[in-house]
Amino acid sequence: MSGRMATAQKAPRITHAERVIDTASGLTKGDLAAYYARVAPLMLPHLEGRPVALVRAPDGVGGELFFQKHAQHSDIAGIRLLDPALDPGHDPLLQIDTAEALVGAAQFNTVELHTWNATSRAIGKPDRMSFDLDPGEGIDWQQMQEAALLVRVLLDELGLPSFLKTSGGKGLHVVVPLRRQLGWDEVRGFSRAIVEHLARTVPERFVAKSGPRNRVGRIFADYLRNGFGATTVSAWSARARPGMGVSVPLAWEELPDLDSAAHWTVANIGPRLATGNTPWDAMERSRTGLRAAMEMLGFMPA
Amino acid sequence: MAVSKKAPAPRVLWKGAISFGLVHIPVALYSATTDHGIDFDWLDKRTMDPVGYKRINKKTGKEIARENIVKGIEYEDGEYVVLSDKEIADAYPKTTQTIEIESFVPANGIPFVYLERPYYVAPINRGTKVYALLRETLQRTQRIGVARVVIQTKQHLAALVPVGPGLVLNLLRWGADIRPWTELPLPSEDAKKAGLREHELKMAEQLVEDMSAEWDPDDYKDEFKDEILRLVDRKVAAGQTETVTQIEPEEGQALESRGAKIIDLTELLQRSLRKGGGGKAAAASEDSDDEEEAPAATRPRPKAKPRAHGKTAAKSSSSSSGAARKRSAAKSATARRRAA
Repeated sequence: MSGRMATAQKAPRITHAERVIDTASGLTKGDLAAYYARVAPLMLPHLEGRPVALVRAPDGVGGELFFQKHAQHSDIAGIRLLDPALDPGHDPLLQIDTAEALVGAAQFNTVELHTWNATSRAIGKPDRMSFDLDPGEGIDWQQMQEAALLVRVLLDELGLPSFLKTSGGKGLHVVVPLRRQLGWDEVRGFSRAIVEHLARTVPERFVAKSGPRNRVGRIFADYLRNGFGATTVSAWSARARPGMGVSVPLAWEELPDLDSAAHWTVANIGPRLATGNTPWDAMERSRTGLRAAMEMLGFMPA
Repeated sequence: MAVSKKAPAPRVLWKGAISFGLVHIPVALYSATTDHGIDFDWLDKRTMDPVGYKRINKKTGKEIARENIVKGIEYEDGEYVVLSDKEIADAYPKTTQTIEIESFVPANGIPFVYLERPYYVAPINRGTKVYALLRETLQRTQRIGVARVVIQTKQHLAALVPVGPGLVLNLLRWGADIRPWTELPLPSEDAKKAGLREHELKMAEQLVEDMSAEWDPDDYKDEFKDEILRLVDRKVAAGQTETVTQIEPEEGQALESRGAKIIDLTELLQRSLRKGGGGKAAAASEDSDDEEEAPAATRPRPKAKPRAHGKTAAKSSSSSSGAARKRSAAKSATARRRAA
């Protein structure tokens, strides 16, 4: 790696910084790199120690996107190539632990960063469970807000702590921090049982199946992100969508005041940086096991 | 009765603080009521298929897709102003997370006609002592607080009332929502002018005294509901049931029930876990063709084909009453046991 870029350690040089990558907002590649440099202190805690997947948009938003989870070799300065044994049969997984690597990823046209629900040190035991609330056709924002609150109601009822973030696109992400006790199959199976329970109990609002036909007018709480190797966009990642929304951690109390899941964008994120990760301050100390919740839902891990 | 009065574990609906002067009492609101109504589903009598609604354009009679519906307000006959969801959302009151007491009025100063919906109020975050202080003071002064509170984007007027060990927040109707009754043929407030004589009043008072009692809510039951449930039991026992085709709720139905208040759905979700673990697991395990180990307290998973057991009048998925749903779950379980 590296050597090719004669740059300072912490500030990889950004080439073609003036190139507009999102015509909707007029943001340039340089703007995005500057955003990642600025947000690095807030974002690194969400990236550190986790395998990461990069969504690259060499032709900007609207052009073809490349989703990269593995690499034999990377030009991105500071990016880590993990032990290939973590994901057998593939090239090494990637990991970003430093601001240098984060900004370096932007130099190589990375727009989005998606992370695993496990750390590379304990890759067999997910440390969080996430639900990606994805609106079907005809779902308005208020219904999204209510759906997220209902997911929270059920999680509360199950005794599970939940944390919220905007997706930066159309949806909302609900994250349950876990103790690293169970394997992927159990966590994924249980997340599915939760979503099925939601869809059974409130079928007018939720579906348990993916696919546009299943969810006209309803919301699919995507549990599929809870499998081995699945990723969800990281907090503070920009999105490769017109306007370049940003995924931002939220306090539940803030949800009613939000006007969309792309409330914050690379262009307007500034004032929010002061709030930073504080809405998720309690996450680490809230980590929980799932046994009691599984019992309440009548779920038997296979 | 399968429809038990088992108290649901309390769940916080709202968190904030009672506030007046410099006093600040962190509290949570809990629902004080549950709905035990009876729910009749509509069925096509020829096929027992569930009946639902469709949205139509009233002029053409044709069904209309959700994305083509906008919200308007008729400001004069046939003339509408169209408002976007955003414009409507922007008009919501700012949430303050406070129960802002504006004044303390005599405890009997608010006529019953203003009372709308009760919530229980309990202290949180070490607010217990100052909560008790407020409760005690209200009791001693025979006063109740009149407060403003924003719950779920809606501003309410409310009365904060001490009751036993707690405080109850009773939402109040706005003065403007109460109709005047000046047009009604009411007798004069003056007994004499109303033509009442002293001995008539004495007799009436005597009668009232004879019939006096303490109020006990357990003395009163919804007899219609009990009667219907008894009838359902008899019909189930006699095998007079109909198989209902389980369908995915169609958009029309989904739209119809989308209006369901989020608070109702909240309660529905809370109730959904509360049928207890053991019983429902047993019921589920007897249902061998059902891969779910999930609680039986919920409605059956929508299916495109009739259930194999065929003897059970499983309910359609459009119901909204928890009582009826619990009822149907219990019913299905019974039928399954019989089938097993």
